[in-house]
Amino acid sequence: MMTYKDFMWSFQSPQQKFTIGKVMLGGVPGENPTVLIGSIFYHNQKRIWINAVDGVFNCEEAGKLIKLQEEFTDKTGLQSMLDVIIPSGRCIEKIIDFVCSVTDSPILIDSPSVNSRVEALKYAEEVGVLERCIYNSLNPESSESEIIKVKEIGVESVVLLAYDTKDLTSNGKVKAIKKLIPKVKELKILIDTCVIDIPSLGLALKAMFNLKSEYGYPIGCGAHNAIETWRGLKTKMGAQSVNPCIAAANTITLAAGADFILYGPIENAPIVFPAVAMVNAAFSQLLIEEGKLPSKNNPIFKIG
Amino acid sequence: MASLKTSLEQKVENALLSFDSDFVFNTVKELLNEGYDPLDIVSTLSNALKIVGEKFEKGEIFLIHLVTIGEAVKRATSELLEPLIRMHGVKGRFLGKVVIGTVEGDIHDIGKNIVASMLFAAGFEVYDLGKDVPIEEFVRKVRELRPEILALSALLTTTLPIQREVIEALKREGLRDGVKIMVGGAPVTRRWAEEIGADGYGVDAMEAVMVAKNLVKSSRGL
Repeated sequence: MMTYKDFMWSFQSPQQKFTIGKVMLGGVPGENPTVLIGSIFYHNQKRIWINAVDGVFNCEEAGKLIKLQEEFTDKTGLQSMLDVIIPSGRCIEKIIDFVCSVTDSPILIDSPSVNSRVEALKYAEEVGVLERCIYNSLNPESSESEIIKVKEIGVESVVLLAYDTKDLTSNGKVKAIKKLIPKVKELKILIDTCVIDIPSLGLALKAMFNLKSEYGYPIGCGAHNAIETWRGLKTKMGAQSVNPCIAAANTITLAAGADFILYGPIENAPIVFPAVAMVNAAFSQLLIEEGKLPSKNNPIFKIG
Repeated sequence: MASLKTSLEQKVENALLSFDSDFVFNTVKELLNEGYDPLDIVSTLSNALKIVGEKFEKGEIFLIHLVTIGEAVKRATSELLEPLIRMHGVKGRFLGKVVIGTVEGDIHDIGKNIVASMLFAAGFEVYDLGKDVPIEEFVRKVRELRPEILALSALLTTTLPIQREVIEALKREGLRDGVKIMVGGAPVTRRWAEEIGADGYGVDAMEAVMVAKNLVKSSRGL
């Protein structure tokens, strides 16, 4: 009879598992609970920003949001990280000091500006939290100097983004990552197959499976972008359709073997965590059926 | 040269809506081989891009399609049409010269690329400086190329102020009065454009083309 692995995921390569801070990700789907990554300090996060240019934010609200994600992490047994988006160089110290003071979660150092990203990483090293940081991200257009700086700072983990504007196909995503891997192969590699809208979510799923199969690195994507850029969602379908679609976009990635999901605004934790936990629990039973007991923190033992 | 027929317009539109860069490229190549005037092809592409833009507005196609089409048109124009147009010395037939780029600190260029493709297809000579462009590079290019229009893109609230800084730098260098400045990007508003002293703002790529045409007309006193 077909095994669990063969039933859905027949990978060519052994699956790699990495420990980053308190989180273990990767492996055969179901082995480790999915890692959900909520974004915070993004540029139009009105709930916390007072002045994004100068880095003035509402600490209480930001703290509540981080705790909200942690609450759902505990409730579901899923794992979590924070995608910390640094809007500008002026915010680096304030944001990193704050985040590290309220949580011990792993942190993805993210910023639309390369300089801010690198400087933030440097600061994380200075204050001794580099071990739980992940550089988010390098893409095929990243300069050699950025890659060298990232390595020199000494971060152990990096996200590779499968984004090539000249080739947006699923094959283009795979090629983009193949080009990047040799440049950072000594690091812990996480692959984001890059979603910008609904059609690209489909392509990201295919690339996700193919890359995980070939390289075995932990894989995921920012599925929420499919919803964020869906212009007709509210106008054509109605506001009540938004949350189910957020849940669907995120959970569909699990069918392609996602180890982590960048689920977008951290405010969406109460929508995404239960949906993903439910699918994790369903998949776990397939392992149990083969005599492999998931860890006691697995969603299957927590959400019922 | 043969004249363009509706069926050819249809061919271009079909090529664009195939979302296949190679197909767009080969269609343009075929049209050139059949003897069509490169400028007429540009004009046909421009009309087809308008249709594509409308489809995006209506939610009939998605961002990835728009980006793919933008890249395909950029490739076909830069590799096939532009060299021919420049070679035949028909520079005077351009509507005007545009220097475009995403400001320093900002690595987003999807929207800027679409605007650049549409401006070219609309008949502008476009110099795309790319993304994360330093202020001094904008100043240098304005001095060197003397464009009618400088188009500045920014996607982040944190990089918006750079648009103002570019305008201020042009003023300091005595270049501001010789160029019309357009600003765009997700957080840009008409109010912001007015506040920083820009001459034009387009809410999307289609409006940007219209604004650019009007700015060129007004700068020439037409």
